[in-house]
Amino acid sequence: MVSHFAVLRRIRNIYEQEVAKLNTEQSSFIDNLYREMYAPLYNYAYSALDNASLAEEAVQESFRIACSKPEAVTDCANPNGWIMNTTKYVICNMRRTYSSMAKLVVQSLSEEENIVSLSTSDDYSEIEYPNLISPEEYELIKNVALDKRSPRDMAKELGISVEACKKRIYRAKKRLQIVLTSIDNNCNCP
Amino acid sequence: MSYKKSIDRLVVDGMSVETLKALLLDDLDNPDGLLDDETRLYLAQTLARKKEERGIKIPEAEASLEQFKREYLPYAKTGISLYDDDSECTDNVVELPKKRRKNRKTLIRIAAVIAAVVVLGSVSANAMGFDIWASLVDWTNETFGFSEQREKLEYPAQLGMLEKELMDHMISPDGLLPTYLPDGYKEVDTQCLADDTGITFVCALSNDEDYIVLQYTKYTSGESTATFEKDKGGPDEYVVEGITHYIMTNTGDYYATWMARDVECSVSEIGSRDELIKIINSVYEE
Repeated sequence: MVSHFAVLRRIRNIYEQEVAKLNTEQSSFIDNLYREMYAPLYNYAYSALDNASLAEEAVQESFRIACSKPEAVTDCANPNGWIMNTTKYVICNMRRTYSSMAKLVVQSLSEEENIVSLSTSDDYSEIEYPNLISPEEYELIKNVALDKRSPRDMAKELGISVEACKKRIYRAKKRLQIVLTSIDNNCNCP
Repeated sequence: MSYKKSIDRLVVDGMSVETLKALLLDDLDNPDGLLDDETRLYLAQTLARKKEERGIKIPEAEASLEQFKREYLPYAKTGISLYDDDSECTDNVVELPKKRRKNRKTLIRIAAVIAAVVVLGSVSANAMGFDIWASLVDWTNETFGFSEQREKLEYPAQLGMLEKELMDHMISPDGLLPTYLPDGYKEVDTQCLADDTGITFVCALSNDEDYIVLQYTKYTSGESTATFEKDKGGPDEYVVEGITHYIMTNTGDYYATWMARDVECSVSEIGSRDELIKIINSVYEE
């Protein structure tokens, strides 16, 4: 009988393309570009994000984008400039994303009735999660938004893949957004 | 008319690390950018060179590349990006090919025989004061019996094909299919896979970002031979209606598996434990 996960893998292939199909030439091109541009991009990202793990995340995310459309890089007159600009936009988006997640956390804590308990300490890590989403989800959002942990770091801590961790962060953020919007709408109702 | 600054390379070479950083940050903070692309690139390259000259260590490019190939490259086209304009999943949705359904075994002869038994049986049953038609005929390949009629459960529309496949193979969906599914999921594919060891029904649902898989297997031998991959820890046991559901995670997503009657059931790729519990509980809703 077909094993459970053999079936899942078959179905997963319907949804996910195989490992980004870079041909040999593209693969070699990307590898060389990575080696050449890693230091400038990492230092650039580090200057902006002030965090080693996030700087690494910015570089890898930029190259992920490059690999999603390899022709855009390989056919470009200035691939170094292309990846540099991509990193710039990734950094901008990362800053925006982390900022919006931090706002969500702050907003969630302002809903006083949802705070389970509050310690007298000023250390925010003592504040209990608000009763809005599951504890694990809230812990994840808090670690990412307030402690500026990268998905890479969180994935290692949780023992899951980076992709799985990103999914969890994305879902947790969505859920918190929906819950807080709903609370907001209820408060605004006459 | 705005213009982007181009700074002479000799001037850039003479800048301190702090000045280089400040210029790059100013450029980043300006929505239109302050520098032209060439200058920005040269500033970043000079910054890297000067930091190296100062002995400031950064991670090894080779190690980073290895990790990139392992953790990011496989999801280059379909992976989730947390950073696309407030994290809306962008154009990484893969167009799903429609799978041709495999030919299923039809049990017309068996159904006809059973129908005949029911009709003939109803004569004697009625004589004994038992209204056979008020009871649902509930049969499997091995057993034939009656259950008290109850209101037919409404399963989500997305499970219509799955319900039909089960019914066509004489497996009642009651106590197997959930009546609750998270919002936004549509049926993508339903398959029936049969071999010597038994028959498996699989239904895949998607909301364009994630998918859920429901799988039901009836083994010829009556005993499950499946193995399940999982992350560290677990499985947790969750008991409903006397049935133990084993809850685990695999690559971060939750799934549950259990035996109901002689059917091995599983629900996979659920984002949260709470949602999984909701789905499981709905299987037993009356």
